[in-house]
Amino acid sequence: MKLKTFGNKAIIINFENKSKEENFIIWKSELADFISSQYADIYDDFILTSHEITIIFKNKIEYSFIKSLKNLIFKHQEKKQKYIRNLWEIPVCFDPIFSEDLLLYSKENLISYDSFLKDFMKCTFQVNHFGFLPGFFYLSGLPKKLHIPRKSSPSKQVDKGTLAIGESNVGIYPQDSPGGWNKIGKTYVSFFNQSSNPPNQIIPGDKINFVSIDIYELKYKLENFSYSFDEFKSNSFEITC
Amino acid sequence: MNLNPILLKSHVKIIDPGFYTSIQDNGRYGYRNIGFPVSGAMDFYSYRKSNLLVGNTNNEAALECTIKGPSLLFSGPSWVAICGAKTEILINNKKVKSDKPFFCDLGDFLKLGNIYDGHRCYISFSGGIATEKIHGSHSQYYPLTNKSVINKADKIPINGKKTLEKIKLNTFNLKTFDGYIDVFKGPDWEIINNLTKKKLVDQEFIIGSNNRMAYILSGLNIKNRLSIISSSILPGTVQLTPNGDLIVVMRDGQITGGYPRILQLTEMSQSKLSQCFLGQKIVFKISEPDKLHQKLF
Repeated sequence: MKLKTFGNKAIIINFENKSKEENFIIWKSELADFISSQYADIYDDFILTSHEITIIFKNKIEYSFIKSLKNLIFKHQEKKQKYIRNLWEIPVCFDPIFSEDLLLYSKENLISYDSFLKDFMKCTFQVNHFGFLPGFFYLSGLPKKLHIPRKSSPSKQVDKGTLAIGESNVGIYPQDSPGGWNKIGKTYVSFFNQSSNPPNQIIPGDKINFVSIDIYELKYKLENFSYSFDEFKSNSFEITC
Repeated sequence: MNLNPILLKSHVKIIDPGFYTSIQDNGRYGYRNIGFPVSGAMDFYSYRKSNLLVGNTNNEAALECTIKGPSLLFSGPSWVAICGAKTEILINNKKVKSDKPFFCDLGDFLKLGNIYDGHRCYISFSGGIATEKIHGSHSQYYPLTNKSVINKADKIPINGKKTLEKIKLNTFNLKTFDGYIDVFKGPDWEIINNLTKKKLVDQEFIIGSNNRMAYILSGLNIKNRLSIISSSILPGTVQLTPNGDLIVVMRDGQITGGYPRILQLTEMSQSKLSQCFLGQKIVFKISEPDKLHQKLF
């Protein structure tokens, strides 16, 4: 583990090799929550990425922050605790009109479109962290043979609800936006609820399976979007780390 | 009858929104972990100054005006102050000065002109703008708020405090722009080559397209193949793109990015840069890492 300053108000905690350990995603997000609860008065925000936590303080960093931060990390490392996360089943329509980028990629690279999707559906993904847009989460767990490089020039518009692949990551666009990832499907589920606090329904460490629906169901649900997010919860799981 | 308290407040009606005018406060905190940008005033110093001039000390929301200011009609009393870049300020066709509070009342018409000697100015109202807070902030950022700017005919509620509390402004000396942007070395400084490091301090950079998300700077002219694992970025982070352009992340910018973070602007320099416009030239001045910095590395 390495600490680095970022400007004069932020500290990056880099986990280097630890990021390959089992349950690292949950351990890291719980550590970030723990630090933020301890620092409620002196910190503004934290940012999670796949290998780092960045803590942004209200004021200039003092040496005492670093000492106490090291202590907090040590404390968190020492005590093993049980954490609960959810497994979600998210309906996605893989009709070719929503997977134009995958169609193109499979043609250019002589890969079977159907077997790509079949392999994709077998995967269980895990929410790693948020970024890019409000409510956009990065999912890890895509096997190497399903990686698709980011597009060399981004699409001007990717629709809200689009499921897309960017290199090793999978994500769902929470709003219409320009984007450089490859479209492979579309869901009617909105992961982001403006009126609830916090507005995100899913947290780092949660797992997701995608289930296929046809275009008629998608269209019906998009027009009649009254659902409770809980109906997509498949079960909960517990881990100790 | 709907007695929405917001509707009972006095307001300013937008007769002309200007070029790009938005409601901003000090920003939206506590949500970057779920991908929200911080938002908030780009030139934080001018924003705070205009607020203090009308007695606002709690990060009250103000109007941030870019390139051309708006025209407003008052439905009730309020003290007003305008700070930042220069612009002609008229109340009922009479000139008033910036950097000084003045009083507006029901029926008064405030008109700002084109903005010069900078890029942005701030209009503060005593008591602040009283729009609803969304996730802890008034700052407009679409789609967290319905719109990203104010539009013609909008009625912006204001608190319109009638008394003016005098606050000493001894900390405000944002001098006229000297061309220098103060920076710290960024977390990925060590991965760039010596030629790039040298050029970053030695030469001028030209400001290209810019908005509340980012400023693009050109002039390095060294291509690279550096990329990093998607990592955190902050307002003021300077990212190096493969074609050698620099992206300076601003208040509405993303929270993560995959380009090396080679420099980090000081807060004062973020305010300074936000007053720069297309075609202007800047030079980076690197602050040596202090003792704390050395200890960490």
